[in-house]
Amino acid sequence: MSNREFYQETFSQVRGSGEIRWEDYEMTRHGKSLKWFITLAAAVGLLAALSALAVAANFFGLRDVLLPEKGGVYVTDEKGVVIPGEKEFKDFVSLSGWGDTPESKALAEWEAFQESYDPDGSIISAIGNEPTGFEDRYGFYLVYTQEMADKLEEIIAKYDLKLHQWMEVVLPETWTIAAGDFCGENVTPYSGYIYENGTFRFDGDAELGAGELKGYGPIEYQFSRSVKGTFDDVALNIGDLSDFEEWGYQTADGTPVTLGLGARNRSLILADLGDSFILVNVLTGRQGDDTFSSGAIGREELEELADSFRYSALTPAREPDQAAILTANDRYMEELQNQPPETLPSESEDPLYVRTGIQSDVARDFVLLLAERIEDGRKEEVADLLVYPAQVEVAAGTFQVNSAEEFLPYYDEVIGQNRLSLSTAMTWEPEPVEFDIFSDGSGLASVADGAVWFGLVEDGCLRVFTIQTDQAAVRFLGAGEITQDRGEEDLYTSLSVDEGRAFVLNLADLVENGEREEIANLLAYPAKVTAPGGEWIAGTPEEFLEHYDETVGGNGRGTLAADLRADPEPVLDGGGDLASAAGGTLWFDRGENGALKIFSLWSDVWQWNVQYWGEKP
Amino acid sequence: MDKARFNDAARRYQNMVYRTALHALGSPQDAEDAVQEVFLRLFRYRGTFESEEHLRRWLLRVTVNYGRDLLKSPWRKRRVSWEEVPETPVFDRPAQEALYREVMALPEKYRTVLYLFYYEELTVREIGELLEVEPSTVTTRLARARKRLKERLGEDWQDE
Repeated sequence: MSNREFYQETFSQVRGSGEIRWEDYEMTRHGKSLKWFITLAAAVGLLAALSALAVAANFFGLRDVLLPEKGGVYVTDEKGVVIPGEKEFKDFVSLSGWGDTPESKALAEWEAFQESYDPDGSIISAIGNEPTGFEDRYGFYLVYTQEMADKLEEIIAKYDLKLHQWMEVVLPETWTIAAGDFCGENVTPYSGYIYENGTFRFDGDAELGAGELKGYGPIEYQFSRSVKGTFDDVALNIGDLSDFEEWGYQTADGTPVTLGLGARNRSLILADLGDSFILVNVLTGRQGDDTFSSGAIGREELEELADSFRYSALTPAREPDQAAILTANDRYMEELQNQPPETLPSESEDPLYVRTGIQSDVARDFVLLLAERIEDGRKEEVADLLVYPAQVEVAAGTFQVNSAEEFLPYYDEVIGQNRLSLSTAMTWEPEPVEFDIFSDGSGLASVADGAVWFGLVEDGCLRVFTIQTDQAAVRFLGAGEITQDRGEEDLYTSLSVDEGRAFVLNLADLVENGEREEIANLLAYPAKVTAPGGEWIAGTPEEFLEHYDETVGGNGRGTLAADLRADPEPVLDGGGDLASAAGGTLWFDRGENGALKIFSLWSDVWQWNVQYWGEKP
Repeated sequence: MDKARFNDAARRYQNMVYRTALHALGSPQDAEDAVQEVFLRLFRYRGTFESEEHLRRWLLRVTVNYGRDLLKSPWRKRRVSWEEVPETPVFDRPAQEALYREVMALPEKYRTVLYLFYYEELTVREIGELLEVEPSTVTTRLARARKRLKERLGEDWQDE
């Protein structure tokens, strides 16, 4: 059984419960299932009662949003699995405002009630997922009995608060419509949600880049704005209050805020805007957080993040336009659907990756694996890493093998007798281990001075295409592309050396004469354009021309033309799919319409390149 | 999307959305919520689907994005299972239970890639597009996840 079959057989037995029906959504268009709230309740039901809070006379600090008793949270093991029955107690803060506000007092009372109500879950278990009749009025709160409804009504009457009525998801580019233009250019909001009164929450990231901080990288945060006058039942676990260093600060738009820099991986920004309360939970602190942020931050970075929001744009709080949000959300989703994958940002500037699609660390792992197997004489495991059909060249002649089993009789002659020299050459022992993995632009990577060539195959795995020594070799024999007596015109059925040379020389002329449109038309698209000023995906000649002067048409134009003229002889047997010239400066081949196209053009000196970035032609 | 098409899509893709969300979120409870949320978005979606595959990919993308957003939320971290201990499905064979357990013990980024590759049979490039990462990143994650599964499952997981 293959791994895929094993996986499918296993997970086909994993199914969700319940039934999704159109009718249910029609009835509860703006609500959520009770089960959804059960989960939420398990979270928010952990807090204890609020007693009187001591509020500082002049400076409102973190202690002023702290709920007076710690809340219990479940303990997880190293794999993140909850350990039954084990809890630890943490400090929680209100998102609704300072502790003496009606909203925070109401939250504490509600939490205290929930802490004591239905402690063993027997009532909710009996109800299950059936409708309770409380959904219409209490759809955004955990209310599943009349007793709970009565308590909630008592609390909101006592503090003169309203209940949330509807909530809408807000997608990333919809925030301006939903809540106003409050995000600076360096902060990016992800999707979140907003209530009818303008209370909203979202996750986002921020680039901190002022002055000497430039290049710090993104940090992540959660932004909460709670509009006063409505009861909100969310509180935030901040760990240990004593971990925070706090101070007052006035932001760039003149808003006074309280900043709390965490000793570990969390920091806070608090702002009371009068009619609403802001709490930004920053997912890094003096220790940083590998998952959510680029590194640790200090006071200056936290102040810069605080300056990144225009709080004044959030007051006075206004009710959001639900219809406008839905329309903007739909537009965003449609744009997302229509977004060509080529416009996605590159995740790597790894030169090996650019040439082969293999990240350097992956290549190193693979080389280590292969070297280890060769050194240990694990023949079958080495044979399994080769690509078939392959051509075996040994003393007795040249033979084709179509599987690992067919290759094994030749193993000792091709690999076995060179076991140690091959593995040593691959890993460059002794220390320091510095693999010399390179690519000639063919799409394959090579190690051990060209003795071993490997690359990605269709299913995304790495495989060995060639192993060659002085005595013998095994080479991938793919679809008749490689033949023992290949002539210079065999690899490309219709590309001759003369035609290739003419193409190269013509390109040299075009480059020298600055024939930008003609050059743009010779490129295969989509193309990834990399230059010192950035990285772009050009889907058309017009889009490439926007970057022409930073690349082909830049200062290195004359050098590029000279390089092409100096070595116009195309190399047709580079081991990959493309022809190359000028020592790998240019890679080209026939495009879909039969005309020759540029698939790659490099300038190491001027540090730019243009690479085809689509499906393998 | 009309009622008949919606219900048909729910019947055919509810489990796919659930499994995707389970891999993305690691919690059956959260996966159930994700199913509700994703189909709510489908219910509200006003666009059209050019093909069945288009609909399937749309659901996968929305599920993955939903999971990604949820995972980043500290408010989510406070949400724990009502049952306290995540439910484990009943499997036909012990090896299947072991695979489930080991996959669920992997970090999210490996789980999701594994599922999309082995179960939904997406290519590395397609997974990269869906997750908005480079194909090489997908390859890396696959390789590391395979290595981990091989270490933990021994002969039940084949070398690749």
